[in-house]
Amino acid sequence: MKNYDVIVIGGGPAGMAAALKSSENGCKTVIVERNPFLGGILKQCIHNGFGLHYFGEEFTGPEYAKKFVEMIEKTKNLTIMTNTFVTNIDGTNVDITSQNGVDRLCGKALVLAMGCRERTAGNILLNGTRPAGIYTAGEAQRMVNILGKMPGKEIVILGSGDIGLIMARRLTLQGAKVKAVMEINPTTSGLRRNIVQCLDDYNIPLMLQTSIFEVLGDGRVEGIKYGKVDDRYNRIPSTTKTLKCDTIILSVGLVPETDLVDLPLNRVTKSVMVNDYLETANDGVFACGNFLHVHDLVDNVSLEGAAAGINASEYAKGKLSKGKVYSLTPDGVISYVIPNTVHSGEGEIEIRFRIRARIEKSNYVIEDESGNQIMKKYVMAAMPGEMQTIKLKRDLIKSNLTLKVVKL
Amino acid sequence: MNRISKDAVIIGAGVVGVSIFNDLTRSGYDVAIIEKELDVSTGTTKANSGLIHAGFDCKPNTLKAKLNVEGNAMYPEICARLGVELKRLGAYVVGNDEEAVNNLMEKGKANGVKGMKKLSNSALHKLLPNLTPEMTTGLFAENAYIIDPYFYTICLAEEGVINGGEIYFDYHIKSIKQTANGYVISNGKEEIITPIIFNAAGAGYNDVAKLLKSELYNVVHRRGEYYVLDHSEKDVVKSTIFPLPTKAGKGVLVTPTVNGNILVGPTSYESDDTTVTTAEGLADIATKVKKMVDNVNLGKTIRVFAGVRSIVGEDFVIEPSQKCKGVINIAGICSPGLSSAPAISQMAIGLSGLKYDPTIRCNKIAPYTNLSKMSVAEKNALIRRDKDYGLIVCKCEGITLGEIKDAINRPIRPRTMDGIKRRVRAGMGRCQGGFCNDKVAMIISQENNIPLNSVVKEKSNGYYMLSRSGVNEKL
Amino acid sequence: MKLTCIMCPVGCQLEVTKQGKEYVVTGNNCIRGERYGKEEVTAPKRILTTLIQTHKGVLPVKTTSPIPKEKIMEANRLISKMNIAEGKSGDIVVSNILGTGADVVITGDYVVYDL
Repeated sequence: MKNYDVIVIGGGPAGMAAALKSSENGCKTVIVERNPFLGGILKQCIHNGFGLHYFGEEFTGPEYAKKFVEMIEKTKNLTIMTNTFVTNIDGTNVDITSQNGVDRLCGKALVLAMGCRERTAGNILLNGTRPAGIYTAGEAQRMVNILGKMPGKEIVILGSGDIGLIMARRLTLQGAKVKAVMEINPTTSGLRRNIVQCLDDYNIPLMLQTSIFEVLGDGRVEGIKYGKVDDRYNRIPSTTKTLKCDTIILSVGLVPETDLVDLPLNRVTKSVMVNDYLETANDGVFACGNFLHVHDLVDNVSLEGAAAGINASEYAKGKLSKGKVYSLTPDGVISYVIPNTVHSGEGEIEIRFRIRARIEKSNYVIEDESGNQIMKKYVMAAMPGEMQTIKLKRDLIKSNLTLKVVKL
Repeated sequence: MNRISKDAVIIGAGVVGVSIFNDLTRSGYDVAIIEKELDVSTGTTKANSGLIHAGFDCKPNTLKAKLNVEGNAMYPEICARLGVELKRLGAYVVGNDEEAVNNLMEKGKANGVKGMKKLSNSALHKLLPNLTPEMTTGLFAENAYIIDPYFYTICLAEEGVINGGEIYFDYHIKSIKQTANGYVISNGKEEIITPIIFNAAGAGYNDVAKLLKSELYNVVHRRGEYYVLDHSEKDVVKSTIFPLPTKAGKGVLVTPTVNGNILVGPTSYESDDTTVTTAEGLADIATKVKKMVDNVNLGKTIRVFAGVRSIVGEDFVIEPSQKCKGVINIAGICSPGLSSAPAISQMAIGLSGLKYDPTIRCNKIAPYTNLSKMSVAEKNALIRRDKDYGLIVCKCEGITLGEIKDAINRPIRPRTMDGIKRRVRAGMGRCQGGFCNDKVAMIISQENNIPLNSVVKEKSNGYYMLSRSGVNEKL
Repeated sequence: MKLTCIMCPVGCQLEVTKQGKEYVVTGNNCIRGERYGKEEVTAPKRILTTLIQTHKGVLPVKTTSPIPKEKIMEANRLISKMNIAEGKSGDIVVSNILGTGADVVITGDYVVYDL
């Protein structure tokens, strides 16, 4: 058994930022990471576009990770356990398995930064055969960028999430033919700059309201039947076509890795609910990063991780004092909001949320129980693919709140 | 050409073929299985409900009725010998047709099924609180089990191998020639000479019969689709729940699996020998299961699959060929084929004239390493001995490097990623191998000393990754 | 030429036309859209990120600054053909690639799974 002030599960961008802040705040901290390295998925994201918000400079994934690793290496009070798996969470303690054996780590506070897993062919009930040649985008990304191998030569990407778009470009640059990116929705779920720079630049067709109807092939993928779907995702059989390919890459969404957590989950984020200190319903257990909700940019993941690290270390010191608690509820076109509850008191809260549909020329408005606006922020335009952030001063919080969009 | 002589050859490494293989090797015979795929249990045996039925719904006085009840009684002993988990959860049949329930009770009695009980509406809903109100009548049979059908078959095959049997994988029969004292089977590279052939090729029965010029049967394929649900759902049912059977089969059931998942299915569509899943089939299951139990959340699906069962008329076909002396035809082994397999084997061996005497070779397989069944002290002792048992490769199922290496270094060395999955469940969990497929492929490559880009998922053309320049190496 | 502006989330649908020697951007709501539209039409540039083969495995690389879009494929081919002994984060593997003024630099280190 080993004792720490703060235990951080996950050594990706959220966990690294949390651990860094916690140890800088004087707490004896440990990161438990299942990979043999820190950095998480950043290590396989060799493209650029990371760090503009956090560092004011643009990096690739491995460079961004290295920035943090270098800071972590200089930090006292911070233990790193790699190749170590958490098998059970008990309050703020965790059971681990590693090459040193099975052990228990006891913490005063715990930060959950386990990230996400990718939705699979099974999750989306992909029809047809189940041959080799069907990969999740992250699996294919690791195969190409870390192992230096290729999944196949003729590729169809299902889903227009950012990893899928990035992989379309990556595979093209590695010599594969990306035949199409298919998206079941009428709009893409990825960032617009990725559509332009990953698909348009390489003349890769984007097929909207299109899905795979059937996977063909026995031992290995040999092709697909695909076609159009209507607004309710019903297939339109008359549009069915066949396309030859040897590889299907799925970029169909992420699910937070909540398996070890025994807490009620939010219907939209499919993760735990938190207050404005990023603390879950279990005292001393904090959550951040893509584990808490799927972010658009890694910079935002790190910022949230840092906040969770500060709060967890304050909690471990017994210094986290909270005011009166109120609810914060999303309304209308807002699909979810983090945090789920807020406290009155001092300081400022970072509120993160997503919208269901494109909006323009509107105000984000926070209303109190009696319908009074306590805060508003103008938004020229926003897309579902982009996470939204507003700030709220705690001294304005005096009742349960609602967050909504008011079109101007 | 390489020539080998055997006392008997079994064509097909499904549960029936492997059962015969196991019984004959233990009886001291020198036998071989020839299998076109790269592992045992890759056809019908890997894709079914994983149930050992009690035997009450078979038509009385059929082979199905007789062999199911006999096979059912044999399972506990075989599983204990092999160290394979067999769970006696019992099975419910529920519906709203009292007469149909009475009919099943009668059939069960006629078939000699013990431990059956008719349940009143109130008793039924007390025992199964999640049943829909439309389910007003039913029965419970205590002698129904759940089993991991492929793991069982693998262990049975391993025992056959350590008792002297041989399995030829990736063996594609080119010709079978009848000679004065038997048959010469050839794939163009290796000839196997044998006086006795068991045609246990399952869905491929007629393909083999054509080569043998033995009896062809009117084989109909029926495809069954299934949902597999996440471990989070493991408590939604505690026993297997069937609807009242229809002409098409046992209907859409819900059952726990020995590995803590929930299985929902199957459909039953007449089809080619294909294992596709369809939108219609999956929707059909969803509709049917909702009518029976109200708490099954198909949103927690981690995998969908389909299996094919071969049907010849109403009963199993297990008979000596009239055209080819020494050939035993085994066809139409649909449900309850898994339940009947041990008894089918003994019947087929009897028909062949060979003698079943399992006292000749009694080597037992070593149990699989399974850390999930160990105490902390046992785990630590193992990790101290070999740190590979402390490195988890498949995080969803908690499978360590040590367990995967052990599974490869067994009497039958699995060469495929699915082979690893069926032995130790790496890649069988909620992420479906998204995080560990590449690591499993690397371990197979290292342990077998083969290039990474020659590792296949299941079939010989099912390569998992290409080299950077887009090449795969076929072994 | 029709373009989607990627400078901000608004995503204005730009139309860039040549009038005499000058390019004119319409459909934009702000000056950044005009700048983006002109550059995309006259001299679009991108940072190239790809892999370099080494004897010990692949390593990620990038161009140190954006290079003309039309040179991306050629630069990628050039880097893909290389096979160096080994490398580490920060090593420059090609200077001034294709005369673009950008170097190609290694951005990460080897990742080894302890299997």
